Amino acid sequence: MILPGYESFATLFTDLLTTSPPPFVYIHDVATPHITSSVVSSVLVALPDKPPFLHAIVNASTCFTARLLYDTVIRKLADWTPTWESGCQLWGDQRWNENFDGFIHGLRAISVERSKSSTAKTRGQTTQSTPKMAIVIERAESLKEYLPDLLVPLSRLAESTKLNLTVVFISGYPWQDLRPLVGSAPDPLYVQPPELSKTDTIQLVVNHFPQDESNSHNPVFLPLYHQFLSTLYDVCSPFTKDPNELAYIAAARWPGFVTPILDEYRRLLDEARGDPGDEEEFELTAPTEDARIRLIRLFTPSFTTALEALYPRLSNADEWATDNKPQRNLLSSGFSGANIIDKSVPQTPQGSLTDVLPRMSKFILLAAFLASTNPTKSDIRMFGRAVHERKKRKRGIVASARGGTVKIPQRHLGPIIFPVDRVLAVLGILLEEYDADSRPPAPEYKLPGEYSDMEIRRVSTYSGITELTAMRLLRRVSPPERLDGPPMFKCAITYEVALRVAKDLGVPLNDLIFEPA
Amino acid sequence: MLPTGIFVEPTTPSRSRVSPTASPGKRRRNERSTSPELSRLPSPSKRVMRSGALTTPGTTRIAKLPAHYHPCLQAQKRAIMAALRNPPEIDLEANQDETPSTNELAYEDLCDLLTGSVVRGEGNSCLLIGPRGSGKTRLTDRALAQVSNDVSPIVIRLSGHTQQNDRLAIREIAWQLSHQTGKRIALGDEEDGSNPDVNEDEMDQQDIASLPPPAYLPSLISTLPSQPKPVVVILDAFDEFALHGRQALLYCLLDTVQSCRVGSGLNGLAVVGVTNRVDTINLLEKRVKSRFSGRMLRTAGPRSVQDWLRLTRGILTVPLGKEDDVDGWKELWGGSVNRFLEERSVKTALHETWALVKDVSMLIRILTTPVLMLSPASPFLTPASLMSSITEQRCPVGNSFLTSLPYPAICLLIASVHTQTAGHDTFTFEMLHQLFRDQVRISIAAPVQIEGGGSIGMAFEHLVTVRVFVSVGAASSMVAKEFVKYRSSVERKEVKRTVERLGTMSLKKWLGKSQQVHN
Repeated sequence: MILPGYESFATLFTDLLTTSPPPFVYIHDVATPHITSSVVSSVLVALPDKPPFLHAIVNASTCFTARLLYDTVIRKLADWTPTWESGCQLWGDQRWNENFDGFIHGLRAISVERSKSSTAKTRGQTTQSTPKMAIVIERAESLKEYLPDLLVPLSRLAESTKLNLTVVFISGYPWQDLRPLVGSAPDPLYVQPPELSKTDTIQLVVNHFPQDESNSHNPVFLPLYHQFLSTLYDVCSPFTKDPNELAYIAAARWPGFVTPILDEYRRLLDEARGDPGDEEEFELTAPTEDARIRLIRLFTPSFTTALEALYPRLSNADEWATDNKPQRNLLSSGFSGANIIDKSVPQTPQGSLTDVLPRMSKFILLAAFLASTNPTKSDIRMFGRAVHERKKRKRGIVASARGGTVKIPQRHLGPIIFPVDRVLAVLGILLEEYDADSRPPAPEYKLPGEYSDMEIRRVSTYSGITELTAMRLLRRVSPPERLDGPPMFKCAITYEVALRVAKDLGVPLNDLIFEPA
Repeated sequence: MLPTGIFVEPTTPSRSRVSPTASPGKRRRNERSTSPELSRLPSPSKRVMRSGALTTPGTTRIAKLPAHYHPCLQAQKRAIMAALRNPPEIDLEANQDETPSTNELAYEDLCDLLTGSVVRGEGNSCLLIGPRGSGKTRLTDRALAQVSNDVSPIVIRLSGHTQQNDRLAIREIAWQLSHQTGKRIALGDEEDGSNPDVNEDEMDQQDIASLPPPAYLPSLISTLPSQPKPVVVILDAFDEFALHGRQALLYCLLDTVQSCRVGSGLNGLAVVGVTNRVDTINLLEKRVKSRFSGRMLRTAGPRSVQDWLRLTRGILTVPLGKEDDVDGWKELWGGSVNRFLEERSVKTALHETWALVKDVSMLIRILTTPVLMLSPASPFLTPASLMSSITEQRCPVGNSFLTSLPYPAICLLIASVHTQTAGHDTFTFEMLHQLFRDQVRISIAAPVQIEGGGSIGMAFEHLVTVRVFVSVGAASSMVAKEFVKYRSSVERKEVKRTVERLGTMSLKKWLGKSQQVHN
């Protein structure tokens, strides 16, 4: 079946293949290469048997070595299935996968074999027809990565085999990105697949509506599903128009969307059971126009939340559907609020990393974040404890003069590397400023700051750093086998996480950052 | 996964649906749906096309083709496609008074040379040089076919693209020789033909088991003149062979050619190098060059635009077979092609194409799509279909998909322009995200609206996937994803064009800001 929106493309491609196809065709599709691939394969499958047309559709990312590519193409062209009993033998009486020459010999052998068999069938006619061949390579951009040497020979395959053969590349990248620098590859015939319109996209998703009598995928809901998708498309289209993504979001939202109708149906059914005689009349029917409008109005805000959670896969469809189940009997209860979520369903617990860390580790993490974000030179200014230091503190970047390069805050450029001594020093300051009051009294430390100094020299502090590194919250940059110099680290938490940790500890983080947000 | 910058606009979703700024996608769609083909064309050709269509109303567009001509149209399509795959020679009778074309001269020379080797047993070498699509391979094939009428030689075809080293080349020579002579070719110290009864399977297995080392090159190639028939070696992409180590294959081949003497009882050997690189001769080492005869034949594409047009006409009016022909079709079709080629816009377009590229394969590609689109509903070629095919094939715009990018991605593109203006050619995701958030915050009228939410991180990843943002430097596991440095492969102008085509005022304003600073 030809997918909606691809009719003209499919006709053009069929015409291209059934007449005299050009030796090299390139299909560039940025948006939905997977759908184009499926259309191409359905066109190839639907081609008439006479005259014989052999085709092989291979995915360049699965054929990551030359031998895999040769074997797969030959196997598919020859329509050969290796069996365990025959020792998984490949097609033909010899191996065609040694090198590109072997591959060419293999293609010729297939052609000879097929033309023999086709003439054998039609013995009355003496005309011997050489079969046409098409080799379709999906995700052709992988060729450049894995098999760059094969790009030119593949694009010239028809010339070197002297067969009636077409090589079709399907890729999300333009040919200009793929082709070798020296102009040794011929220019292909570019074929542009259509851009999917709203109707086509919706129809594509609707085609995959799993029809099932018993549950929410009852065929009577098909018109409603159409309307539901239309609204969903309007919400999602500024962000993604990929039918696969839409289908994923729809799969998560749809069961919840029809639950109120099913609830209503069950309620009516129960009532009818109480009243014998009416039982047969109640069949699941499509909701009324009024109910549809109400449903869509109630659920539209949740489409946005679904998009937010599911498009970046922050959650999975199943979990999200459970968490966002609508209240029971939503339609009959006359509910019109904004939040339709059923509160009685236990929500999936969202575990936070910062909750499980010990207090000292949080301080270390914060110190590491500051050491990674603030320039080394600013430490005295930021953390100095001299008498009048606070007044002198001048932070941030002075806006540069016109025409100069604007300096970018370190926060946006990524963490800088620091030695372990520096993080310990910052940690000492943090502990002295924000932790000293909460410690148990220790009269043996008399000098100011001695207690904090003691704290940062404990074994547990060092083991805390090691543990955080093991958790990948810190990253050790210097190799462990290097003995000279202090070990170097880098903080691996984001600003948002650091803010949460700081809030937890009661540290005003923005005051301590050299270039605050 | 990148952190997701989810921005929820202050307005309620129901209000945002009706507000005019809140539906960029809808507006984009409407604009595109008006004229998808026209919008892709540059404006001058658009004008030309329209005027062409206006001046000759109804001449090329016949509403409906009579039903009895439908099979003819299909047959014509098939015939034209076949002609496109194998274009006819330019009609030489038309320009008899002129000097013969370059290709004809080359053809005669090549025929003479091959006849010398094949018939008289000479050793010959030559180089066939010409630009892409000028008919080098066709010419060689024609010459070979011509020569084969008398004595059919053994033809060994090698290609520098396929045989990327001498070891592969020698194996392929051995394979082709054995297939054409039906004998096993001994490599190394064994005598030629000492074991002719070995069947092919065994031979191939032996071949696979032991690839001949390059040291056997001289011994194999020196046996070429002693083959039962004369040998013609065609080296496609000759320049690639010159890049092989020590040019061993070329040395051996040309040395054998040179030592091939008439009357010594041996058969002839011809080596024909085919290349499109003009300076190939300079690539040869001195010892190789001195063994090369120095004969260089040249091919060229159509000489004048008249040839180009004649070729076009020849392809389009290729005659049908007798069984397909119906009375009146030839005249109908020929008339329509004439009208099509007489259109001013078509003439200009073909002239322009000829001025840019004189490659026949380009002409073939341009003509393919319009011919394929012929159907009983629109049975004749139209200037519009030719124009759209030209824009698609002649210079495909790699970034034509920019307008179909999602809204957040366009915002990121604009942000990347801003970083460039600020003097940073490379940027991280965090930098763009900050710019984006700033823009959202400072504009009270909410010029940048994200309808309800979504993920800007996904938009960034999308841009990286379609290579609008290209990573600078090697990927490292030590750098978090949001701090990997990228640069934009899209020019400022293109971003501007995209934003203008989308027509969202807020985005235009934001982009305009960077230009004010820039100027």
